[in-house]
Parts: sequence; C-alpha cells; structure tokens
Amino acid sequence: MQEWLQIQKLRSSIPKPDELLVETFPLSKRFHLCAYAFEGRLAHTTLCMLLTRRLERLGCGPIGFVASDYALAIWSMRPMGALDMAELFDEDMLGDDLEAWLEESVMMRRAFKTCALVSGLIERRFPGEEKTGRQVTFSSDLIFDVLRRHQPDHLLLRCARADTAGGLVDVARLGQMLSRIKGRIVHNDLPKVSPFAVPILLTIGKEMVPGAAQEWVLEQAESELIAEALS
Amino acid sequence: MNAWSRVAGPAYDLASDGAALRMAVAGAEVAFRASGALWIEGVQALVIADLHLEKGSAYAARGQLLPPYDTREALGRLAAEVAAARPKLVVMLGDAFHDAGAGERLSAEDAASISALAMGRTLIWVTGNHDPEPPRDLPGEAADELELCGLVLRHEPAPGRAAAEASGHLHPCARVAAGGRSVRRRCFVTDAERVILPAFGAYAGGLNIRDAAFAGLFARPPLAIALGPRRAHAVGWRSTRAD
Repeated sequence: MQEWLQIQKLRSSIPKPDELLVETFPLSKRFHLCAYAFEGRLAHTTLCMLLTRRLERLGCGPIGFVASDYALAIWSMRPMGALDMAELFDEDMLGDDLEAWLEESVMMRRAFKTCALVSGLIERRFPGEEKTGRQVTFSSDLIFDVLRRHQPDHLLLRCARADTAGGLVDVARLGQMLSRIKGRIVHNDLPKVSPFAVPILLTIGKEMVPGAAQEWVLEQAESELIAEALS
Repeated sequence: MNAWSRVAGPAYDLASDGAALRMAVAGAEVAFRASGALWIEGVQALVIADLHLEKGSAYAARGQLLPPYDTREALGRLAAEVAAARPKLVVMLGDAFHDAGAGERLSAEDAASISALAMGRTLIWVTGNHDPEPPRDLPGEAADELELCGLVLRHEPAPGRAAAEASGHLHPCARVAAGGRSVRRRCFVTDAERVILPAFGAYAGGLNIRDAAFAGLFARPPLAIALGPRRAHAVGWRSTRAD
C-alpha cells in the first residue's frame, strides 16, 4: 500500500482533503480522464453524463465512462489533456440538458426493457431456451424506438424515464460537490496511467456514451478492414 | 475522414459517396444506403426488403399489444429514402406485409402514403413467404422474382452459392467488435456475387450473420455493410461476432 501511494506521488500527486484530483493520460489507443471525487456512484454517474455531453461538444469524442463510489473515468477518441478543467467542471453544467442525455442513453433503453417486461408487453427469454430461426420474440429496442417517435408520452416511456432518473441521478449532491471543488482542481496530464486510476478502470459497469461511441466501434472495424485491404 | 475514397484491396473493391457505399455485385453497380435500401445504378432502382407492414397489428390481434405505429414508421422512412434517391423503380423484395390480412388492416392514411410513393415511378411487389398473394387495391405490379442489370431479385436466397442475386428474408444483423466493445446493427451481407438485404421494417428482428442459416451461401468470407445513423460501414468478417 505504501509503495502504491509512493508511486502515485511520484507519477502524479495525492490530493489534499479539499482538492479534486483530475488525471488525463493515454491508454490502449484511447485517452482517459479520471477524477477522484468521493461523492458516491450516483453523483459520479450524473457527473459523467454531463461531462461526456460537454466533451462531445468540445470535439473530444467521448466513448464511454464508468463510475464507482470513489472515482469516475471517461475515455475518448481524442486527448483531453489540454482542456481547461476549471471550465469543464464548472457548476453551470447543472443547467445542461441532463434529460436529453438520459433520453438517448443505454440506461433508458434498459429501464424501458424492464418496464416492458413487467407490463407483459414482451416476454423474457432465458438462456438455454430453444431458439427460433428468426427472432419471434420482440426486441424491446425496436418498440422503444418506434414509441419514442410516435408516442413520446406513452405510459411505459414515462415509467422508464422515472426509473432512470430515480436510479441514476443525484443532482443535489453533484451540485454541492461542484461548488466545493471550485478553484481546487488539481489537473495532472500524465504520459501513462497512474496507480490511483487502476481500480476505477477495472470497475465493472462501463457505460457507452450514446451516439458517437457506437459509430466509433463501426469506424474502428472499418479501418481494420482498410488496413487489411492495403497490407 | 473518408477512408473509403477508393480502396482496391485483394478482397473487395469499395467506394464511398457520403451516405452510401458503392460496389459491383456480379457486375451490377450497386450502392448500399445507410437506410438499408439497395440502389441499383443501371436502372435507378431502390430495393427494400422485409418491410413487414402491420406486424404490430398482427401481434395485437393475438393478444400481444404492441404499439401500432410500426407501419407509419417504416413508410415514413421509405418515403424519405424515395425523396432522397429519386428512383424510377421501387422494388419491395418480399414480406412487405406481415400476413395475408395486413392489406385490410392498413389504415387509409398509410395506404395513401403507399400510393404517393408510386407517383411518377413503378412499384414492384416481389412476393415473400409472409405475403404470397400480391396486394390488392394498391398501386404496382407483383412478381415472384425479376432481373435487373443481371441481378436476380427474389425474396428468399437460393440455397448454396447462387451468383448474381439480391434477396432478403433472413434479416441479417452483425455484431461488430472493435476496441473491446461491440455493437449490433442491421447489415447487408455480400461476397460481391450475391447480396442479402437487411430488413427495413420497424418491428423486424435481426438474425446474426454468423448464424447457421447464412452458412454455405457465400463463396468466401462475406463483407458486412453495417447500418449507422449517417452512413453505412463496411466491416470485415473478422470483426463480426456471434451473439
């Protein structure tokens, strides 16, 4: 443990109690941003949603994120080391469109699926069940997409929204944190991953940023094909 | 970045023009559109597979009350495609209707939007296993199969390695993996000899192209053309996964 802290101190730094440590570094062809906010998973998840939306607008191409009770990590297509962290973590992000984010999110689709199962709209499939040739059971995603366009106030969508907002978001606590860390952000742009970042990067429950991140997977696969064709 | 400006690799010769990928399938110039429609350049034809109109109402009749907007959704996307591509010919590659009663359940509004599609162009309804009877009271002609620019267009892929064919029926989907993540998308699947189109219908499910149903249909590892919101992406077989 001592050794781990020593290396953290050497490579990056150990934040004081009232500081927020933010680290940026490249890792396996992607760029990472880690923040150690100690505000709990809900507030961190909320922060990740808002940050990824900002990063998207700043052209960093955020791909995914993960939040634990202690820290959060976001990874992107382009480096985030040159960003002004004070600006990025400014309180005004609370005015950003959290609802719009949730509406597009994978979590919303998941919540909708649960609602659709509970209501009996679709049936749950179990592993080992006999598979039919083409899908006869319904993908809740297809229903979700159609409903959202044609009846956005549908009861199941309202339920899914309520579940998503209630289970994933903690705006109040995030607000307190953002005002507390104002002017106390320590940003270290590192050449490689720091010891502190390892646990959060190994945390289960990675989420994809909706939209661009999925296209990123397709673009990566496409460039692999191009590389193959040119080799 | 438009990487596909022109890549003449040993495997496939593809070109991109923004939203669509162009390629020759058995000598016919085609474009794979991001919507899942196939464009046949020589005859300016737009080909759509597996619309499955009124699938929602078919399930509702049996007690599974799906939201009844699937027909409107699919026809809306089709109308947008027709407006964008301005085809002379629109070919429905079978299973345009989910069942025999679908034509009667079709709302007047939806029937009108089909009629609007036929204005100034020819509509061809290729029959499929879900709709063996050609639609009544709707514009267009019915056919079991037809040939355009040397490509045979039929609903169900002929078994084995049939060449020069465009078909649907299987609802191909690809799970594409890269950078430790994967996404599942509807896709075209082609070996440059034949092409299988993705389903266009709003409630049409997908079958992974790694499923046994696709085995033996292609002469070499086929290419998946995965559909994205803005464009179609060419994906090599090696980047695809089973579900």
